[in-house]
Amino acid sequence: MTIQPNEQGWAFDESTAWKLVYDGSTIIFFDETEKSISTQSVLFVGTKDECDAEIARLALVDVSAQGNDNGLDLHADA
Amino acid sequence: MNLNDSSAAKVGASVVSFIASATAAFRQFTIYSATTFSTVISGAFGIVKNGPGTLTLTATNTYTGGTIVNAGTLQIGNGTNLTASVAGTITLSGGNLTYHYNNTISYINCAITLTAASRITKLNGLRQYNFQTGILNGGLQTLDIYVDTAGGSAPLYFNQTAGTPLGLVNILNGSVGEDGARGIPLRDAVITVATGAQFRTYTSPTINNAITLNGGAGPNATGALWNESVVAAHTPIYTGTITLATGTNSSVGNSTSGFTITGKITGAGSFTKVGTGILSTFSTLTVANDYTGSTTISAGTLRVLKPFAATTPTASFTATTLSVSFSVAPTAGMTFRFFQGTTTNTYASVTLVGAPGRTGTYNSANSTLTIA
Repeated sequence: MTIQPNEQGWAFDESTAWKLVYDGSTIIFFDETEKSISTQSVLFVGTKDECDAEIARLALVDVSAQGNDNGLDLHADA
Repeated sequence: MNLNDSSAAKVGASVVSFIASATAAFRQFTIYSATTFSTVISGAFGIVKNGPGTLTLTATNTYTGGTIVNAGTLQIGNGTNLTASVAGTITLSGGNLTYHYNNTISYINCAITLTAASRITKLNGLRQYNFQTGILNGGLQTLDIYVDTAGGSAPLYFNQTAGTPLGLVNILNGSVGEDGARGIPLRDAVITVATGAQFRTYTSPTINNAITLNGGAGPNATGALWNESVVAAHTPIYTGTITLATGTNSSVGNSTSGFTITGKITGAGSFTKVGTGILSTFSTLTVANDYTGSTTISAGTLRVLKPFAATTPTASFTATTLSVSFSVAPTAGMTFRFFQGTTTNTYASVTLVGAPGRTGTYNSANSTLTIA
């Protein structure tokens, strides 16, 4: 579920769970952790399946997991 | 061409003089105007290039005694032939070396030794060349590298076996690389990257060079330093000091691969992160980045480790968001400075991990995060 922010615009969660933080379409944090989260971005807390569904529903992007866009290997032996 | 016959080897116009000894181990050429040998030179002897002119060899030469360039330029290939080469070691003793191919990629297999300051030039910006085998013996000399960018930004990779190191490497133009899966022949040298030029890597080499960046994002806007690879596991590690030249703004980039700088970033220049990947820098108690220019994250993430009292925050800056993860929960009133200069980006969104009940305010004017 999405954690609603307080009057100052901060959302908090201190449980042990899968936590997803995103801003726009970019994933800022996604992990199972016992660490607290304080954020001015959107905070979603749930099971891994619930987080994965939210990522799919909103087409969120983890920029560290983009694919190979280079079809040539110019470094192999001749 | 059989160089045992000196009259047959006399080439060019009257301004070209030719010195030959049928008994010496080397055949000496003094070239005053541009001269091209298109026939194969073969035999159990070497070639010495003298004089200020350019000698171009366009055949697959098989002479076995090596090549010495004392003056002028020895050019291999003329941009149309695909297999121009010389066998053995090329020794640069005051002269320069130019390659000009037009293959999709050209693998250059020869040893190079420097005994004086020299220049290596790569022509044809459309095509990539790799020094692939052989050994580079730098002899602590200065090597200027000029990579032509006419038609494209294709690089010149130095992938040979590392021999004696170079003293100074000046990347004057274009993109120069090292592929860590092979040799790292430029290691130990001081590297200067001219404005608009680039030093790039592939795979995960450890780059121990002290490097001075003079601004710009390279010939292809990917960074003055660039990890070309798109393989996530490919993470070059830069351990030497990186100096940002005064008044310049240099970009460092990677896409889906990693990039780690453990050396100190210093100087009075500015720094811009480009490319979608994560660039990790470490500002520790012993290696504190102290560059005084601004910091801009145009794309991707700049991750900074900063020790502070009992907790070590790792800050991940993107163009619009800031996320900080603490090893030990911070207390109210703590202030963390991640850069010496200003941060060009402003952050409407801040995320704190491992700081129960805390909020934070980032001040771009002095690059500080204050915990409340």
